[in-house]
Amino acid sequence: MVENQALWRLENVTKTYMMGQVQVTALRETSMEIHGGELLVILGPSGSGKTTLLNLLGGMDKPTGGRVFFDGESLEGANEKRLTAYRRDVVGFVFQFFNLIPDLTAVENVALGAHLSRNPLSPPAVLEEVGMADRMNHFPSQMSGGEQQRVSIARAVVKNPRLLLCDEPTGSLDCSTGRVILELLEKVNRTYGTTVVIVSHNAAIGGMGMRVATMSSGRIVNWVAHPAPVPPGEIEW
Amino acid sequence: MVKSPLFLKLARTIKSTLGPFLAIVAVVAVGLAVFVAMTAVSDNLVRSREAFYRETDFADLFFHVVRAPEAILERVSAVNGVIRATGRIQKDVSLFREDGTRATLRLTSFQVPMEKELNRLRVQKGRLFEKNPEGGVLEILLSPQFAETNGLRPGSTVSVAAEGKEKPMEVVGIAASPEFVYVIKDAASVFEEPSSFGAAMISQEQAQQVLDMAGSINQVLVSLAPGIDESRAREEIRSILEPYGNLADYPQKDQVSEAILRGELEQLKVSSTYLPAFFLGLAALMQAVFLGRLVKAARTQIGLMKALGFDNGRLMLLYGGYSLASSATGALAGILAGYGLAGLFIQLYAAYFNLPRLTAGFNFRAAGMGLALSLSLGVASGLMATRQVLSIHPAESMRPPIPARTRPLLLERWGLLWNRLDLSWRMSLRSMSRNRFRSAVTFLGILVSIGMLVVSLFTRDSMDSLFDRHFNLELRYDLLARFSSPVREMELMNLERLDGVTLVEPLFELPVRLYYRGRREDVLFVGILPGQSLFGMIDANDRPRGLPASGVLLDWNAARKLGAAPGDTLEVETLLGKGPSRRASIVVAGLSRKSVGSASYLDIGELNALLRESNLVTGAAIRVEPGKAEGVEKETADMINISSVLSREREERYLDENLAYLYVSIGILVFFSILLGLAIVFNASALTFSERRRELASLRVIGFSREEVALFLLKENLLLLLAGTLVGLPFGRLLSEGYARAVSTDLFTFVAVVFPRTYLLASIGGAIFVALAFILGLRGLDRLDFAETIKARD
Repeated sequence: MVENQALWRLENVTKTYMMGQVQVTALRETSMEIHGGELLVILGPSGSGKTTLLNLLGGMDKPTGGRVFFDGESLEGANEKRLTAYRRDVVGFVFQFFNLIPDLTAVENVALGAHLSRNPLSPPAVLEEVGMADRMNHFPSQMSGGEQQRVSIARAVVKNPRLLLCDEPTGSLDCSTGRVILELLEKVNRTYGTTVVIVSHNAAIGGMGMRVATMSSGRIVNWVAHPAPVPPGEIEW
Repeated sequence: MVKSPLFLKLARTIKSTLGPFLAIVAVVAVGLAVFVAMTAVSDNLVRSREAFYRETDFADLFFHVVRAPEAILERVSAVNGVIRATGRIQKDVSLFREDGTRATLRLTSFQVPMEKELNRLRVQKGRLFEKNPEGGVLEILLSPQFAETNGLRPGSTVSVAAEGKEKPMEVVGIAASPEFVYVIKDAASVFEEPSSFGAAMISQEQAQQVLDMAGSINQVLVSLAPGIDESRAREEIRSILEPYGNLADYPQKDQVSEAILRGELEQLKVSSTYLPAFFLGLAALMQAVFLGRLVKAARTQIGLMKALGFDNGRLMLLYGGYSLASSATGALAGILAGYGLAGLFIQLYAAYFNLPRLTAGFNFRAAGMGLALSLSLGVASGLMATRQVLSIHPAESMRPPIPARTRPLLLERWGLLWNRLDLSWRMSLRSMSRNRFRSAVTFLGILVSIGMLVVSLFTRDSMDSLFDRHFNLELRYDLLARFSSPVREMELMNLERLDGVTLVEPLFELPVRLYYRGRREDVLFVGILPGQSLFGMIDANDRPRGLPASGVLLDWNAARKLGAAPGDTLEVETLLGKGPSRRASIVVAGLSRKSVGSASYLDIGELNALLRESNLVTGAAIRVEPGKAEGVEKETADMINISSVLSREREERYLDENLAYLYVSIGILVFFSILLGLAIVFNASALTFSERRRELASLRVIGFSREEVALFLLKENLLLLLAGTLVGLPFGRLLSEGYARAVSTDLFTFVAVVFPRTYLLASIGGAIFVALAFILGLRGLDRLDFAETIKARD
């Protein structure tokens, strides 16, 4: 169920970096709102600012200008401790390169996520949900890329986060495996009501978003709303 | 000049990993510094000793007799294999100092001209004595330390008591002699201050006149042709000298100064072998581990370079160059530091050993050997680590990284325990086991570092316990007076009368030769009163015990050499030097073990009976009221038949003031041990961090705090540090025992004693290493851009 009120709000956010001796503006005066329970896709070529946007939403970075609000509170003045708490309690991450802990088994990786949450889901149950029930005691090195990504999703979901941020979740996977992962993300959004933000350079993915933002050169240049999103299983690329 | 791109890459790799690079350099440098310094000092000592002995014709055999005519030398010279024989007089006399205390001079005579004699002198200041000085002035030369500590120089006049008469003597020079390289009265006197004993050299004619020995000698020195059967020649000369009261005979290696010098050289050899081996070995392992990681991390780059056309050889050269560069830098720093350290050590040695040519200089042999050693270790570890370069395939290396291969541990089968471990411990244990080689190097490094900390501190413990035993258990007197020849016990009443004296106990020190089942051994019998309280006896098991009712409490070392045990009966030959030599038998009642030197105790009555005498004493142990020892000592100045007075207070003071050299070496060792530990911890932390940075970043991103992640990181090294410390403590104990055994000589038994304090201090060292690892982890996390790391491919 998509809530009416915006849970996250960006107001005129700018982010500049120093890359060596060159100043790079990754995000220029961008404003947007994200509603609780929606599935949002952010599209754009590399360097368009989508990962920077994701980092700001995830509390991994602070804006150079403008403000980021969560639930009416500004994240701008938050110290490292509060940002850590925000990441711990509110956000779940899924990465392109999975980033599982190599020395922990599937269920242990998921338990690590659960460990952080005040009201976690059951790790074996979540693993079952992502279709990894029979590989629970495998180490990352014993799994395929798609399997690692499923565990990675389980690790993020088990915390019962309000926001699931996915940075190129299909970037390292072949098309059919990628589709399975997208189905899983859609299922998480539907089953748990988790707000899901997917960042990708693959325009085909846009079809599954309730709303789709397109970025270019640090700005959101286009917004599209889909009253009836395409089921991920039907997406082709 | 156009630099090759590989060279530039090497230089930049070093720059970007400067911390671990310097840690390896430091460990190589310490190893080489110790190697170069110790080898240089040892080479220098050996060379100076050999040159000095050759230049002065140091004798091969020494014979002490009561008194023999000078003409006996002709018979000794005629013995097969004897190249040269020198006859001389040597006797201890008292020197009266201006403050009323006395010192002992070992007066030794020399034939003038000296060219054809053995144990010649080397005059360092002033001149040699004349054969017949004008006006019959007695001319002597002194050993340097004695002259210096007593403020004597050429031109000074001293007062000496010889044969019951006080005589003035003029110091005409300062000289070094091969038998007084280390000036010491006997093996039991290692704690005596250098101002209380010295060597004095005088012409043969004047010695004979002063000591009433006209036409006679009491020592024969012999040099032998190379390849001659020493024991046969010794036996033959011994029988020639038999009628003249053969008091003692020994080869050069048992001459007390040479024995101490040799002991020191052996100690140096131990230090110059083990310490550098530890450091260089660990440096090589650290290099191998670090390079291995470097190659792994640069997988994509190496693949790319291969794709560009660089061959395996050149790539291995690039990464092998890293270890060669760290070895070479470490070697250069080590050689320079070693050179400085050698100068410091030579200075310390020069203060204790009179070796005229002992000066610091650059030792090319040590430097060259050190350089070769560290470079070959660098090459070996480089080759070992860069083998992986061969297996990197250009196309494969471009694909995303495969997660590290982890397997379940054996421990995991033990569910009861495993299930109780939290996830961070499971991660750490698996990571440790996955990186076995690296873990082993960290463990080993900490083990050695902690072990060395124990060893460096234990010398102090052992010395403390040795002094404690020597001064508080064995010797309970304040003053020990010795007479120039045996006197009646009644004479002790003169001592009892002195102001402040509370107790006087008689003492008879009698040199004897013991025979048992064909073996012989010269020992010192110490006769004391039953029920006396000023000497403490300690048995072979380090337990205090009393004087036996009859028989002798035999020195354990002499017993070992004779193969005798309590209950056995020995034959005794007395070697007093006055009156006839007597033979008798005596039962071994028990064993005694003295901390310094040796002594065999028996009832003074039984000892008198061996000589068929009664009530004779050669000295007295005295207890005085607090603060009055110095006064009593001065009052004995008038008693001409007293040859020396030992003051426990002065010995203790001297020891306190002169342990500086011990603290210098302890300080250097502690510094090196800690440096090694820090280098190991630093590298282990850097490696773990660089390898796990990706997972650390993910942990941060998913919501673990900086401290929580630092703890995750610490846990892996914590186990290794704790295990290294725990095993390092007993390892240090073992090392200490080995060291004590290696430096113990017949003269001096060094017993390894390690106080709990030392273990505590070493453990604190371990705790510092753990804290450092944690801080380094935190610092790394502060610098970690986790958003960036998480996106990077590797």
